[in-house]
Amino acid sequence: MTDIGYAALLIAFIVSIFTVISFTWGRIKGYGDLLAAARNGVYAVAALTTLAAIALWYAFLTRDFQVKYVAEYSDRKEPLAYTISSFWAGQEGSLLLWVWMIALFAVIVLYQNRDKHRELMPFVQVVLMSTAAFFLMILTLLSNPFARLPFAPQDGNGLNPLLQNPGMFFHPPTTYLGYVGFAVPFAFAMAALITGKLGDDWIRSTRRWTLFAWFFLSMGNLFGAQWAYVELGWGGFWAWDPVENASFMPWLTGTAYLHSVMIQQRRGMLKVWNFILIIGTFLLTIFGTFLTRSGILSSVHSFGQSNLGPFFLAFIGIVLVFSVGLLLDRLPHLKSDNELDSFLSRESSFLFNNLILVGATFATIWGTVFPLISEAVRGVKITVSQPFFNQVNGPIFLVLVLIMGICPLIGWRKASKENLLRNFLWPVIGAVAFAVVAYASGIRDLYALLAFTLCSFVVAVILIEVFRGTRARHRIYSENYLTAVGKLIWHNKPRYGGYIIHLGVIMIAIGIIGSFALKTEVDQTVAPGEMINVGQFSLKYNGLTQYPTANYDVVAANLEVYSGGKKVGSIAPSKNFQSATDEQPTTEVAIRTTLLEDLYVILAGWDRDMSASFKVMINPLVVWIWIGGSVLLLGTLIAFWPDEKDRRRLDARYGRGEA
Amino acid sequence: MARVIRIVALIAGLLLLAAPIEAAEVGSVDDVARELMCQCGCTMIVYNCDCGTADQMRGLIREKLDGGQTKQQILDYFVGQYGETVLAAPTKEGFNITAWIMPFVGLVVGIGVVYFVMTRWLLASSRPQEMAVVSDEEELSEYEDRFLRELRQYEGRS
Repeated sequence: MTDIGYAALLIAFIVSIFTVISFTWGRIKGYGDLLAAARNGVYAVAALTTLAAIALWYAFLTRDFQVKYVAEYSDRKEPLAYTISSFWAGQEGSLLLWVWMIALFAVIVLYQNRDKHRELMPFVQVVLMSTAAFFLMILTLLSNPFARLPFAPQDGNGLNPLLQNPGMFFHPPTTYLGYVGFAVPFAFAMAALITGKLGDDWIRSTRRWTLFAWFFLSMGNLFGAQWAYVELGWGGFWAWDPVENASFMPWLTGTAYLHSVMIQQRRGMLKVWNFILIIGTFLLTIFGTFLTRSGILSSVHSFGQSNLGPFFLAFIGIVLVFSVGLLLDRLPHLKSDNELDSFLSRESSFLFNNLILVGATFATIWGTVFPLISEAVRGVKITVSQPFFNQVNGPIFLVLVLIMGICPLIGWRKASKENLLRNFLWPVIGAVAFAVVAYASGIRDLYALLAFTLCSFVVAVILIEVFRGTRARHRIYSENYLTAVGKLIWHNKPRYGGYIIHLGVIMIAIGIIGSFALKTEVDQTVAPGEMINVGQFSLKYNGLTQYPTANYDVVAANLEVYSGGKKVGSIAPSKNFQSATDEQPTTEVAIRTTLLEDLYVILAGWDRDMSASFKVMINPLVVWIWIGGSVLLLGTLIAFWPDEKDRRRLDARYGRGEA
Repeated sequence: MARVIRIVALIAGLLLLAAPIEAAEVGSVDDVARELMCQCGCTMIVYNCDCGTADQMRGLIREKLDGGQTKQQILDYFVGQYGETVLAAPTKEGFNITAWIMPFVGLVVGIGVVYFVMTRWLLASSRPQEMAVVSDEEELSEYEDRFLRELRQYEGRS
């Protein structure tokens, strides 16, 4: 089966090159037969990579430890779910996942556009298939997942225990769906540049793909954060590690792109800028893969370092030169209808939104690569880590939240003073009222106070917007409020889906602010029967227990949790030992979650006399990050859902059928 | 000119805000441990890491704090031991200052570009033409008008 897998990859590599050549040649010469053959090539690449993926899973499930990759990342006692996720535990499998996804996406794009975009489509596929060919080259020549060991070991090394966590089951596939998803709008953009069909078609055709990619990249980051929070045991979820930054940067530019295309669709502005943003986003996704794989910057993702760096760098270079060159060449034809009626308009607030997002991207790139710059300039190795990013990006994100609130309040084209006053009055009153309540309830941290106030402003803006629409429906159609809300959202899905996504983002922001600025922490060593006091909680330590499970030996500490003198539960942080001689046991934190705060307890160590040391934290509001993630899902689904009214509006603008 | 002043004020505000977000008692072990990288290879800051190396480093910090040393003296001590790479963020002096300034320089340049572009576009549209403020059908914030209009259309069709 592994031979079949490798053969499939090899054939897929050859077919992908054939597809690229025949799409190009067929399109230039107008050979219909060649184009048809090329389309079949796309299906073939998808089928072959699917076969390769199945072969790799087959090797994992049959415990074929002669396959080096299987021996490295699984063992006999691994449960089914993690045997499946071992697929993407290392570099070879991750790259296979990448190429498999892009091949499937290429087929979907081909099918979606079977009757339209005849001029664009060949070049869209050329871009997708070239990218696939690059990854297939790496897989077949440099990083073969089916490579064999000269012997068949009795058992494998097993999956890194840190990766045995539900978060790690989902984090890589969702992140990759996001990364790879951005390849589709990028491919359409390139096709538009190549063919000179520079209208808004390519943007309209890829709105859903962009949303899809953006959503999965968001989820990928959230799953990663969630994994870090429950598994790494340091009480946080985001450390501004180079690889975290690598998946955050395309998210920032992707978010900017998602917003700026709206201006192009409405007003025909920012055409060049949108090309730049999507090119940048795609390059950053490849750069992210490169950072993870090259090991040029030390990172917690050292799970998969290798010597592939130069190849990725070369690929990034080629894409950069080609796409920017093409854009420069088409520049004279990209005349936008750039006219602005007022500084006070939705358009200008979108420009500032883009500025801040790109500014945050720049700050993040700058900080991420600064160690390399410092080494090159001064010959001194330095580190750029959390304190830098928190201090630099913190204020930038606060401004972003502010803009998130202001943007929907300013009308397109030109906002009048009365209009602004009317729109701003209640949200500002709401935010000020919130700030007073927050201050009265004991929040004294200036940063947190300011940030929460800005968040409450955004929430007020959205709620008032929804309320006004609902009240109008209630009055006119005599619908009850619940029906009115539902219909309001349903009758303008892109808009209200967007608002719901904003609400989700604000929830995430609230969780981040709470856990950063309002954290309480205590380090204490206690004997059995003694108490640890932290915030409103008292924890009574009752001693250690030791027990074996299928995979580990567990040493757990038992603590009773009291709040306000009443017992509210018990909690058992532990350390898991892979074997009796394991010197690096994994730390299993115990978390008691409520809507207001997480009680986060780490068992740091113990002594013969049963006394144990704990790190106990109260991380306020963290759960809102994960709740925000689900709200993001809801909003995206709504925005994603076909919207008749939006279709009519766009048809009116661009003509029927071209989407 | 007033606009320029406003922009400068905004930037100054941003820079002022660029203070540590996380709350830690100044001069505590945590306060110092947040600014040092653990040297076990975990790439985490000492404050976050729970390995033996980080424990040792925290112990050393506590010892030195108890001995009356200031935060800066302790940081300097670690730099002497491990080199600048032990600091979790670049110092705010010499070449390193570019690390801190460039993001904001980038933003200021960005604001400049946006401002320049917007003024040009404003000029482009100041040519006499009909003001489309209210006739922009898609964006009337007056919901009631819109619903009444739709209602009329609906009734007209049925």
